[in-house]
Amino acid sequence: MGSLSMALPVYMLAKKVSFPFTGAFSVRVGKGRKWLFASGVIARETGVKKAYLPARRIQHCIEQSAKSAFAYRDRRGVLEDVWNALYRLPKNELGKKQGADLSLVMASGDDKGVNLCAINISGLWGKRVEDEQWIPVLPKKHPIFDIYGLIEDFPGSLCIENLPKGMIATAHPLFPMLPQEKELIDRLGVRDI
Amino acid sequence: MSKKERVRTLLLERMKMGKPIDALLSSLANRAPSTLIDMTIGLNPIGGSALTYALLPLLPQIELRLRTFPISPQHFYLRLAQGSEEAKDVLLETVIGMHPEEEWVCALSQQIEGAMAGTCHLMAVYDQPYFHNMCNLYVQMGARESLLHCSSMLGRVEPAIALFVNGTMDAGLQAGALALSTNPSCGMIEYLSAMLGPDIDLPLSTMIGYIENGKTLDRISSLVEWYPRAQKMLEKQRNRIEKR
Repeated sequence: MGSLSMALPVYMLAKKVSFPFTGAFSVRVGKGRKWLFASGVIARETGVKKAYLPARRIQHCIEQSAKSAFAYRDRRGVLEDVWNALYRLPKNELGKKQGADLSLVMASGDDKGVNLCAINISGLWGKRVEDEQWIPVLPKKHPIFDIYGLIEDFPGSLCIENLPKGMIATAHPLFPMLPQEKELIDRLGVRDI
Repeated sequence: MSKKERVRTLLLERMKMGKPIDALLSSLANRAPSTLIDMTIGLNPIGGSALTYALLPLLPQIELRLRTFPISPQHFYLRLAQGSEEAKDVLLETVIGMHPEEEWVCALSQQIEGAMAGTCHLMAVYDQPYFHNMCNLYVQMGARESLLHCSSMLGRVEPAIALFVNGTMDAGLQAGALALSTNPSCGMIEYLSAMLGPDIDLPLSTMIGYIENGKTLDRISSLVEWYPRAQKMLEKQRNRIEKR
């Protein structure tokens, strides 16, 4: 589980727009045995030009706060520090909705395991190692799907047991359903998943 | 000698003597359109720039009659352009004015403008909602230079986007640099990220390498600060420009 090469890839599937990565950000950082993988979108509905800077600010904030946290926090603490750093970002720099439209999924790992937290997601899937099938990781009514926007207190994180090969979250207001693998690869902008 | 042959002889004589042929062509367009169409695009077309210039005001009228034969406007203009000599550019401008949205105009443009296919058409429709679609069509036909020209002249992102999607990455980056150099707030960097994904450090630094305008570099620096390689390239370009 430790080291960046062993990081659990997490992706965000968001509502279709003309340009697939509008308002998208992605972070993959690690130090020693600790790592953090984050994906998400912000200000997607405001268009390509207006979504760019909010997405860069979120990306930069996650990257920097995770790098600082690796030195003295465990995997849960890394998520908490990143969350708090995101909460402290000036809201007026996060687009028209001041960050309320941020959809984010973050996985953090160390020697002992992997934890995950998310904001504004409608579903979460994991790719099963045995048969490479995408299966829902959580029941539909799980409280993680009711976290809308960055709240002041870190809501905690989920410990991921039976690690999948990768994870995908669907962003609110997307119906929690995954498309076919080919479309999935196109929309996530990855070569393989 | 048939009536058709007599008219043809008369037309050729007037053209040879440099006399105006407008009235004769106008009369033919009204009374004997089939003769006129046959003389312009038939098996033995008269050709020449004088004929094309004289036909320009009659084109809407001729087009209406084409339907009855039936000949498509695309076929008519492609054939007419073959013999239009130096009048072919004006012919293209006129046809673009009449059919700015038609995809077949791209084929006519390719025949007339060759390697610069699309220049005239794209510059004429840049403010239309179908401009992006036209850029895509020209790139699909293999046009590159005209798209670079339009990027530079217009400072807009559509030609670069079309080159990214349907052409090559490098041509798209060059077009993006030209658009930014003309209009630093065109949004090219934002579009690059929205098309390729959040990690655009490498393509962005390549694009910045094509920018030769110091003011543009200053204007875009706040958008580049997140990307170390691109930022380095920006400084390198700035120093290079200052040393000149």
